[in-house]
Amino acid sequence: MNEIIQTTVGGLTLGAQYALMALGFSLAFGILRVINFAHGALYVVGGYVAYFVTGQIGLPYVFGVMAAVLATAAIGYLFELFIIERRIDDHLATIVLTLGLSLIGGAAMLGLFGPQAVRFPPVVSGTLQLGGVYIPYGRILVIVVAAFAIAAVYLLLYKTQMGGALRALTDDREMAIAMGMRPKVLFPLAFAIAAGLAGLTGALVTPQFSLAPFVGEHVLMISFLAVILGGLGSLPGAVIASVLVGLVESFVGVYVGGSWAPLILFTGILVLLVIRPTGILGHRTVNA
Amino acid sequence: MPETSITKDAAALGSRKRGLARAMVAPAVAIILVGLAAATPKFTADPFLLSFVPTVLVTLLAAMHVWLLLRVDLLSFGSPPFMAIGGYTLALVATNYTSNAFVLVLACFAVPALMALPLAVVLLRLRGTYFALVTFVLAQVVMLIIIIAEGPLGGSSGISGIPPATVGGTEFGAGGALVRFSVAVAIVGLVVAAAVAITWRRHFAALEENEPLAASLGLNPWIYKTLAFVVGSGVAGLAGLILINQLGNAHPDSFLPLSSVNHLAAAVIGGASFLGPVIGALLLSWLVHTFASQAQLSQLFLGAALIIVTLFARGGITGVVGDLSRAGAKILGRTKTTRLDEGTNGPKGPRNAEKEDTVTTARERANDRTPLGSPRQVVETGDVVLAVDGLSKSFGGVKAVNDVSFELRRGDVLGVIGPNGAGKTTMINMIAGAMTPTAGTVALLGKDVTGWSSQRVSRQGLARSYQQTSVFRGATVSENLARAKSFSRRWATDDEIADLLRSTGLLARLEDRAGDLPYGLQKLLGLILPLAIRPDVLLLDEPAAGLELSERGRIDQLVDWTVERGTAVLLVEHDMDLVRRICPRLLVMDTGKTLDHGSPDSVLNNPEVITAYLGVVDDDDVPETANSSQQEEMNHG
Repeated sequence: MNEIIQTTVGGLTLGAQYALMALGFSLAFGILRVINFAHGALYVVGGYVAYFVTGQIGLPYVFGVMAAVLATAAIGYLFELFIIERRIDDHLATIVLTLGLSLIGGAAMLGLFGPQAVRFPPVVSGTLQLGGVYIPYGRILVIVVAAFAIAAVYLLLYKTQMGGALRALTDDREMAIAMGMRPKVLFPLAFAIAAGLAGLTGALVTPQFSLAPFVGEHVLMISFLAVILGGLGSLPGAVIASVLVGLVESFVGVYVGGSWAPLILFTGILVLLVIRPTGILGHRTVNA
Repeated sequence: MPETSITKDAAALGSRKRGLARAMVAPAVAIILVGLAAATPKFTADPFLLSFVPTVLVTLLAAMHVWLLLRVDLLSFGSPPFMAIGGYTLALVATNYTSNAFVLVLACFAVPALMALPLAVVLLRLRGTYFALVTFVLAQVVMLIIIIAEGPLGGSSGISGIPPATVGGTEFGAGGALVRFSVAVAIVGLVVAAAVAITWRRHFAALEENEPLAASLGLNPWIYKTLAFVVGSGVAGLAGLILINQLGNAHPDSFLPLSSVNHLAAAVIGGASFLGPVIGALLLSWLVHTFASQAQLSQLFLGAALIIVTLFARGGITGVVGDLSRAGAKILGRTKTTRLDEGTNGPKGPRNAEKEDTVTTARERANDRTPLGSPRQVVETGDVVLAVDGLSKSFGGVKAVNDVSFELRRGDVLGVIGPNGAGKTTMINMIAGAMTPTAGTVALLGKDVTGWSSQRVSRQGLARSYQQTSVFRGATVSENLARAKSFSRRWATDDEIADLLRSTGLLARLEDRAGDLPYGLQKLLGLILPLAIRPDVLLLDEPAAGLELSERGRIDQLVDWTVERGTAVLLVEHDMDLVRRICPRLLVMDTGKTLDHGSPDSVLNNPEVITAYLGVVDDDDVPETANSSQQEEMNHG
């Protein structure tokens, strides 16, 4: 019984972390209809910026996290404004463009920090013991931030004027422009937020795991799984799917064997796509 | 007249043959280039160069996988998994059964291709974005399956000691023999890919450029996407064969999922020509080799190249070269083109000819037509060809179309009017299969076609035009028609096509790119395509929108032309003059509902209809519907 509780808690914490990883990716698709292949690279850049500020300059961790968010948000802002915006209507082109950014970002980290994993100084250590269940404090921090970030993105999209304008632009860009919304202002901002979320996740999660130029691939995978399962463009769907992925991974890891988890998830996805092509919460969307 | 038509047909036939010949040039050059690589051992014994040739060929076939799928507007990260399937097929067959080269080539193509088929069935019903994501995930999953399957596939230690492929007594394991074998396998892959890309070049190009239009003309997108995916996966399998035959052992690390990014870069940077993957693979292999010790530099270069190519040179390297050579040819060939036009249209320039054509056609038709301005008599002699019953569509809580019913008979023209947002286009989309209705039925020629796909409805005899111009912009006018003809089971006679082209002024522009035509001509071409498949039912979505007044008269002619041939027409339009001229019956929609249905006079005098258009009813100026200022308002309503 205790093992089941521990596994569930482990799955939930993992799921919260995955939700944070997938949040920026899902936002970029939900608003801009852009499959952001640079999401993993931005996560890695965020991790390295935090590492540089904390481990090499020696500033407190909080500054490292802030620097990571600002740096990745700035990259996202400029990349959307000057590059993605020119091909925003062509979904294949935006994939190739973000793939290009991903390669450049990865190359930059490889050139600056080398191919080996770097040691992040431990920032949050210790483990919370609740009954027979153990949760590292670092994970709790991730859960708290994930909850805040998800709530903030939700409020931004559904309770602010900017969110309304963004959703209007997604639904019918031409009509929204005719009514005075300005995609040239709003879309770079939205992509900056999505990129900043990737950077934030990198700064928070890489100290718990590992930081090397190639770790972004895993984040990209998780994001893909979350949005395919949850339904492309659905934010709540992505969050639910992330938690589901975390639980499956946790239980399969304990009861079947770790390497089976992705296989089981993928088979699950194929079955889901046959039964319900739009994912758990996906809605009928325009061709993208 | 007959002379013109013969000249035109000959010209069209000539251009068709030229089209096929042109499509075969790039594949031929690619295959010859690869064939030349077989001669490498004659010039050098350098072991590096000899092993470099198969490496380039592996990248070439992997890039060809991506290239084939790009041709149907899909982005695939599936090269590594299908290479792995091909490579492991080689390992298992060669170790356990036979090392006969013919058997190996066949197996390494067929196994990945067959495995791609069920995946295609599941994935290709979905939007393109899912395909990119799922192939990316697939790459990881195939890797994991290999690692988990320790028994049959050797797990993470792989399968070693694979015997090289053989034919008779010759072993293709090393040196010159290995190079020749690798080249032969690559040529097999290229020939298969070329055969598919040439045979279905129109279908592929149409899917890449304008899938909804292609489907509305009767092309089944799913079939050609599946074809590209299945053949592309077989080609990737051959890449795996070359790779594993060269290495002598199969190991999961040879098929890293992220290597798909390299293959994609080679395909995108090389460009849309069949030579693209060849050039891309050479460039990539050179890059990877040159910066072997500084991976970040080659990665940086690739990333930048992807962005630059996507922003500034969509056709990639081969596209840029092609554009330049076409621009050169245009300057050199200008005199020739002019002479051709003169041959078709007599001594006058093309512009004059076009004008005169219109005038004559209009004059010829003057007898058949009722005078402009007065509606034609209601003649409903034909059978019911389209029956719409209780058709509804909800988006969330909004009922875009709410319980609309009507019938159309052969030779009938039903005008559908209503303010913007009344649900007219949504209704057309539902009837034409572009959207699934929430409720209600659509019967076409007595057959229930509710919820059918666009291409099925099209093949059943329905055609549609689009509100915005919808043509294959990158293709010439004659190629646009050739595509429509190859997608549809029905087609007008050559004389009829010539008639349509003449009356719209497109005859003089046959060899112009559709995207270069002025807006009005593009829109008219977009009307001719559905007309030319000789539908039983034709849905026109605001055909006059954006046309000049002088061009709008041509809509009358086109509608008359098709009605004479027994087509039933549904016309959604804001131009009230046009509607009154050609529609004996009107259906008024507002906020999704049918507001009124009947003759133009009764409908346009209905106070409710006037309220819907003008917002208010003022007792003083209700009646006179022919009042021009009111119509003006309606036009903008």
